[in-house]
Amino acid sequence: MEVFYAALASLGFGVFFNLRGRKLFAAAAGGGIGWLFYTLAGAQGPMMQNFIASLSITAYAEIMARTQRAPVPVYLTPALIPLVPGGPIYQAMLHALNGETDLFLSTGLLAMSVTGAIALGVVAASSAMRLIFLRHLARPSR
Amino acid sequence: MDIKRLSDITTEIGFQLLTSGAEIHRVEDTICRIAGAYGARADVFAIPASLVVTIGDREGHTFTQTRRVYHSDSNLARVDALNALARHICGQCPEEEEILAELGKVRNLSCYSLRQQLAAAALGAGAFALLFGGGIPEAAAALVVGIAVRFVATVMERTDGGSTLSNILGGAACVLGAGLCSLVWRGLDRDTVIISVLMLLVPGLLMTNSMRDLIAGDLVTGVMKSAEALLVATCVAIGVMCSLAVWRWLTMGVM
Repeated sequence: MEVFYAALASLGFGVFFNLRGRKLFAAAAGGGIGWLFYTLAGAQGPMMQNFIASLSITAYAEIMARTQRAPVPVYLTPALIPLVPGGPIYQAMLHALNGETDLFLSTGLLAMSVTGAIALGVVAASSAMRLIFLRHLARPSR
Repeated sequence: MDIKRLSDITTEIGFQLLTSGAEIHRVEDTICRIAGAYGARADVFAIPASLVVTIGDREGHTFTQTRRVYHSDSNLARVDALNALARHICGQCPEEEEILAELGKVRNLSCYSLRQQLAAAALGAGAFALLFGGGIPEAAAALVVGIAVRFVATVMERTDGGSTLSNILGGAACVLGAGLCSLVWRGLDRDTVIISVLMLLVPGLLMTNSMRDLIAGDLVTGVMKSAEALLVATCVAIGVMCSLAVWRWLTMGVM
């Protein structure tokens, strides 16, 4: 059920990014796939969880982009939205307001590292896909 | 096509890509490919605030144009259309008139109406409330507050109020809206509502993209975007904190 909610959230953001029709729903499905892997990796701790989720989203986005001949961000951007660590960021703000500096720093750092993990997942998956597809493309021409 | 025309067209396409929120790498790569298709050479330097294109032909003539980018949004449909156009140009090398006509079509690509955008904000915030473990009441509250926050953002955008004030007010609207909802419905988990609506404002995507740029080696872009993300986050935080403080003070006797 959570997967469906994540897909709905991605759908909402897809509209902000002005996507339409089939591409909008494909991007929303990416959000669902990301959350599926996020819950599957639940035992790994927040870093690994986000890393795996963004790996899966990027792999999906790259495959969709290459089969549909559209830019990768069309599928990638809305799908990444549910992973954004909004909760920790808000908690960090609350701690700052209450003057709990050490809690503020640790939650803020968690939010930063989760963001880093997401970015690393995207970079790792897209470089891997590039290598795979380069070989795939190079073969018939030689 | 002569070199000046080519320069005009490639710069315009690059500018459109940049203002539609395409990656820097895509902007530079697209211009180089189009120039290459017409047998010219391009040197491109793009950052989110500026675009410099130098086109050189085989006879040694060069032509340089710069464009300053003041603000950009994320219009992925336009990026998609421009990408398709660039593919077409590289494949067919069409005449200038055809490219200009296609560019005009891309520029006039329809956008969602305000009502549709508000509905999307409601959908997004409501879905986040359910995702973050809220029940039906939290989702309903997030739906309403999400519309309010998006409305504030749109009004600020139309009156040209600047992103700083817009984000502060957005954060404040989010907390005050959630607070009002919790007055109407006792036992509402206010924090869940605030977090879900905050997802509409938090610059998480900007942060992720800036880290991607940094890792990919576009250092100037990465640093610019992360500074922007920090600024947006600070503004939202100021809005949220001030209104939280005010709200606590106001409801001291009541709650």
